Amino acid sequence: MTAVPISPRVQQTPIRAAPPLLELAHVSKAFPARRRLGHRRAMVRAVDDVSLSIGPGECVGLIGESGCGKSTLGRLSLRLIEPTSGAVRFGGADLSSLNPDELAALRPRMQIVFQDPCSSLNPRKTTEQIIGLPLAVHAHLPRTQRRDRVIEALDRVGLGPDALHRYPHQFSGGQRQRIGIARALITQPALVVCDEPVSALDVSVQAQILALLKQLRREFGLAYLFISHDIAVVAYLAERIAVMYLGGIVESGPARELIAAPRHPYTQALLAAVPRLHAAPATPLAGDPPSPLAPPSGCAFHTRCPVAMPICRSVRPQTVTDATGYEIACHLHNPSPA
Amino acid sequence: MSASLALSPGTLAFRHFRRDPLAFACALFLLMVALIAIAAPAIAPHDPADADLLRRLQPPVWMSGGDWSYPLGCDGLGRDILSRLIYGARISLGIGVFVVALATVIGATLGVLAGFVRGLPDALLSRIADILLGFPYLVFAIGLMGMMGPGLSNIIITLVLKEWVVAFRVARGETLAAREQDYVEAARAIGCRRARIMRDEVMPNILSPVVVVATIRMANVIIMEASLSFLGLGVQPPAVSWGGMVADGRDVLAGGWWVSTFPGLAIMLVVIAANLASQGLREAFDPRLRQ
Amino acid sequence: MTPLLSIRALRVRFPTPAGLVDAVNAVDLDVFPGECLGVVGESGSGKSATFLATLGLLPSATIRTDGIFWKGRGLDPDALRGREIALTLQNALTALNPALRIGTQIEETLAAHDQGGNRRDRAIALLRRVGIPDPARRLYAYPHELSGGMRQRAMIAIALACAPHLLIADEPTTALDVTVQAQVLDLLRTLRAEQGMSLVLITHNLAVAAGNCDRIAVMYAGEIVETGPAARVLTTPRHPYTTGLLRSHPSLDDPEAPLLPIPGRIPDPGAWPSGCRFAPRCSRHVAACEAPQTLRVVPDGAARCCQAGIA
Repeated sequence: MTAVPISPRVQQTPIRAAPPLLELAHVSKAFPARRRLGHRRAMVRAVDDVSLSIGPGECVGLIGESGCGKSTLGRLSLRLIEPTSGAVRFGGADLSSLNPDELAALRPRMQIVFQDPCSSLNPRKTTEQIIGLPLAVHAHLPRTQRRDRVIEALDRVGLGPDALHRYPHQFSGGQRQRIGIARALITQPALVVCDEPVSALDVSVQAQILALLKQLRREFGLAYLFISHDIAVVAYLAERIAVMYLGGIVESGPARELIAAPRHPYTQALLAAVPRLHAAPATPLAGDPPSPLAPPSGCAFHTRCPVAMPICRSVRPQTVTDATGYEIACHLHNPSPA
Repeated sequence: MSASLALSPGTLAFRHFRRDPLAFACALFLLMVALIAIAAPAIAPHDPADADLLRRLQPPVWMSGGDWSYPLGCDGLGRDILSRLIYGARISLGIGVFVVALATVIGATLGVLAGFVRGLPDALLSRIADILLGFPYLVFAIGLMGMMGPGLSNIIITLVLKEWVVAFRVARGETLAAREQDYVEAARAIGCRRARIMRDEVMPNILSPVVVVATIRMANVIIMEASLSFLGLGVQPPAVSWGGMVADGRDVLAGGWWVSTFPGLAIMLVVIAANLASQGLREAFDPRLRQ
Repeated sequence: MTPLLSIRALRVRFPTPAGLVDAVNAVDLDVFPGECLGVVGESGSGKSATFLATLGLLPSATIRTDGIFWKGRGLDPDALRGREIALTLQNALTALNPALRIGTQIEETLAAHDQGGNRRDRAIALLRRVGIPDPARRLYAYPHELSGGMRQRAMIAIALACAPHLLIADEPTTALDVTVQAQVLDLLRTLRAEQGMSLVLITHNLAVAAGNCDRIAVMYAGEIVETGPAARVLTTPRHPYTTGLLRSHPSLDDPEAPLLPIPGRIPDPGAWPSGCRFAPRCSRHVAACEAPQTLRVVPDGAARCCQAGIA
């Protein structure tokens, strides 16, 4: 597999100028909620009018707490679930317009790494079968060549060939996660969706996997959609960060800028709530995250926002993009015309 | 990393099973009965249909009047009980194994299909299964056999028709759980088609519970076949079945208790062994499944 | 000052099909009145087993100790559990009885320890104290009807029912969202200040311990590898494992700083290396590490390293 290093020239060009690899345009996804006797079938809006784009080789982090819809968004990006409305474009092609064969042919270019190392690997298959599956489906290689490619993939993630014949239960959580990463990378994808890849791991193992992900990205010019609830982890890897709350993106911009000077009150509260090694804890945000079944009117955050204004209760803020590409959806920052 | 050998979940389960002395002994017992059944022509001392009224109701060897050439005695037509027992194993155990195997293959395949694809196929198959389950077992069997007439193939058809539903339910339930696992989603993300996912990802993972249930059901099927044969609806002479042998001895229980008792004992032992072995199997698979 | 809780040479072993497995080895711990002790460790470190054993909650384990003392006298777990020492667990959904209402579970605790007064009123007061809004109505809620943060608070309310002198909180924030985590930690800080209660905070997250604890004990592979004042442990760690943990933690203050992961992996319980248990992963491995290490006293604490005290 040829390495595609990111040249310094590419790094200097603003990423936004390159045509996006993945583009989500006003994507929404609603799930039917459990029907109760006598009630109308309620819908849960897991993702609500989200627009996001990822350029080639770019790492975009998606942060938010439980119920914000980030995992759903990750799956929508790969068309593992169908959007209720909006368009998902990969490499310019609208995924919903593709027939099953075309979609299957596109899959090797966009892969996913899962959160749970226990359930992401088939317990009845050997490592060779697990990692070799993408090759068996797409590349029609003789078995020996397939095995060589699998050994190469294992080596890339720091595992030896003796792992080939073993079963998932014979590995630790960190090793299983490496196998999952090897499986995702074996087809040389352009985009990898990482859905909480380190959340289920011990701290010391987390660091190993994060370092591995960073190194692999550098080596192969991968684009990541990195989903996590752990902001520090996302900040380590991502160039841009998008913050989700109850199905919508509230703020999105370059990672360094967003972390140093967050604009949206939710982002500010989120960053303040992260326990720091060398700083005293701040006053926490009050109230409970609202349930997606009963979203607040107007701005979803207004029930907990320390600076909520009357307009926040009634009108949902529009997302406004400034000249540098920084996006924010908040009445405080986008005063609507009187 | 633990042992340098590849340890498949199947190997682990077998090792666990081996450690349970009762279950393992029962499994060996069943294996022995199966081997005896297969080797019947070589092992049985006499032709099971060889009737001689002079030997009518000859008692077993340890009673007065018995002799070693007919160790378990003879029935009302003078036929050797021991030889009939050995040949009867072919029918009783054979039908047990064959019916369950066929029903499991059909039921499990349909179950995986229904559980994975959902929608119309699932609705249709589940309703059919519910309707079939609604019929009481023996009444259904008697009715069907009454319509089709007795005979080996008809018994098999009748019993398979009832048994596939059990395998179907188990397979469907397990599939509903398995399809939520990340590794199934990973296969979709890789671009596998549904048929491939059902065959390679789901099937291997639902096999354990399906096999355990199949082993339990074998005991039921053996009893059903014996009941049908007892009622005269089973295999017809000259074919020998344990159930039929019990029926033969029904009228001479006082004067020739051995005619019904030995086949009855055989049925009981095989059924108990099948039950205990299947319990051991379930325990052997369970902790591995939890992983 | 006499420590409130004093554990000496605690050893906990679990029976497994493969034999007895060493979960906790030679743990010495003190908890002083009014302080918050952070016990930090990853999986297999023995941090939970230590306190479960102390409270007599591990009936199947073999426990040996030179002595566990409460306020200077021998500790009787059955008498003190729930009364003077309380415990909260990580996953409130499984720790609370799903079939009983919250109010019933609080009143159950009050009844078990023969607390006088109107139990219902006391339950409402407890719920209010832990910050659950509309406590009179929430008394009748089932655990699954509450959010994660509320459930954790309810569990804390049950723990506080008898005004314990020591609260052991086992991973109180791990299953919660960040903003809710912050609320729960803030609640624990407030309760400590109000009641002068001691707190043992068991966590795998060093940063959580950093913001909340006076002293920190770091555990690895069933042993305590370092203790000391929180500020000192975080800025000048004396054990290579603590150093490694600090360096493998992505920090928001400097997000792009390189992560230096600890090589290798945590050994399986029972398959501990002979000699220093951290040696196979340690960058400062020397010949002396082949021998089992003892806890050495260093300025401001203790560390289980043959090179502790050496810069």
